[in-house]
Amino acid sequence: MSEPSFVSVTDLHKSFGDNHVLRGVNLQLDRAESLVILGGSGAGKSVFLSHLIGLVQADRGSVVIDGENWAELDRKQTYGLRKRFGMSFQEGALFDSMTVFDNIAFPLRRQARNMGQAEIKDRVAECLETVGMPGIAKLMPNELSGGMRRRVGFARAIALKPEILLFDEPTTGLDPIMTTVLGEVIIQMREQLKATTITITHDISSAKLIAGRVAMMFKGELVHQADRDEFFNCDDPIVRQFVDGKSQGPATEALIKR
Amino acid sequence: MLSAIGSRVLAFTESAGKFSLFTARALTALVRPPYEWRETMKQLERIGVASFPVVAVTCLFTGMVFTLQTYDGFARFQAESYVPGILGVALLRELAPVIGGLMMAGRVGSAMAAELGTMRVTRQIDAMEVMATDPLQYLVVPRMLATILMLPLLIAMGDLIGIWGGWYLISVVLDAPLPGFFDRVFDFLEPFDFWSGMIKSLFFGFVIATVGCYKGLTTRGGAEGVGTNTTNAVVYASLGILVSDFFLTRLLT
Repeated sequence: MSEPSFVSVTDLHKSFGDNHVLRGVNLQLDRAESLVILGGSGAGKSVFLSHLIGLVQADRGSVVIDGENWAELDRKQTYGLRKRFGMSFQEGALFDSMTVFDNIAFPLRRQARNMGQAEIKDRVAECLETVGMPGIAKLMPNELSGGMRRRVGFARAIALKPEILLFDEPTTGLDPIMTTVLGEVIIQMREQLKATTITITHDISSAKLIAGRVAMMFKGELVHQADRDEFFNCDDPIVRQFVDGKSQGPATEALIKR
Repeated sequence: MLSAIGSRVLAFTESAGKFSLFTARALTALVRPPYEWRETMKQLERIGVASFPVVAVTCLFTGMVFTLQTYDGFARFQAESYVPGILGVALLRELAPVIGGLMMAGRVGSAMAAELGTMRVTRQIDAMEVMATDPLQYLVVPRMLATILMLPLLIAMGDLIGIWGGWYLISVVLDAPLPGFFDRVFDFLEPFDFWSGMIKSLFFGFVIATVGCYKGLTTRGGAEGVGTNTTNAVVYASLGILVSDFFLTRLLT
């Protein structure tokens, strides 16, 4: 390999008790790539995402971001590296004791301490504009619908203009229109920031929309990786079953066992 | 049978170890900048000021009941005049810190466990970590500081309220005024009676906050987990208060 990848995951293993969740994940990703990881419930997608941002440490193997290995960083370096990430959580994970404004301003106030009140206000407005929800800064999270909460979560994730964006099931449980809207918002954010994006989902349509490259996670491994068009046309049996949503096939047993 | 006992013991030692580790990490976070003044002020208000009515009512009635019981007993050998002094000692050294502390464990410890627990299961704690903010520093330290600072202050006010309750009971309810009631209280008391109560409250505040925050942050399993951990926070904090009270009393007498 001539140049080390921006995101490099090598032989990643993780167990929780007897449950061997990740069984040797390998992944190389360049800057500004857009990867979608598909996989059924319980395939280990969320756990993998937690490893990428250093919330969980690997039992074996390594996760290296731009030359920095999470396992070798001390507390300060860990937080330093996390500042380069933006992450959106499944249900938004908004701080429900704070207004939308304070939620989005949270990372700004904490990490960009030289920012003045006016600048913070501008940046929050800008972020809300990007996700297509201007003028809701004064609302509380419990006044928002599911799709709105996700989008505020997006806005919070991009507040610090991160280099890497992680999306945990950004469209799960939303209607098809909102799914497409959110897919477009993700593309727009990525293009604005020129960020590397990693999205995990089991929603095929949003994967088709936002992916540059697609990987299939199955039984704690990335079993098939390819560029988008190639992926959706390949004839790997597991991928085929998942993409076509068939009840019979090689992946059924593993999913039902969960 | 033996293995069941063994795994119980192991589980207990494990959680005791985890709790000690958490406490040590929280204490390090306490002295490490940056300091969260805004959050701390907010918690001082929520934990301290807002708890005043509860502690006040608790101490008022504790003072009155204690006076009623001792007055009745002491009257059997015409020693009513000792009631004020005994009330002062009992209230300052023991009753106000312990009963007030138990009330605070129910009010404040449960709130911490429920709030942090909900934040944990809805992944708000993870979101905070991801945004490079240490939950220990941002959530735990302000709560710990606020409880440690405010509980002694609340108990000090409770002391006075309880003594006043004793006076009210004797002179108004029983209509048998003891001349110089307050003089008797304060002549009998020594400064250390007050300070030992303050040391206890400070320590109880520490117990309530660490147990409440620990139980909150280690919550798992949705709404049910929040419920269980909130209950446990109150139970363990109360037990912690009662047990440590014995050892503190041994130490302070």
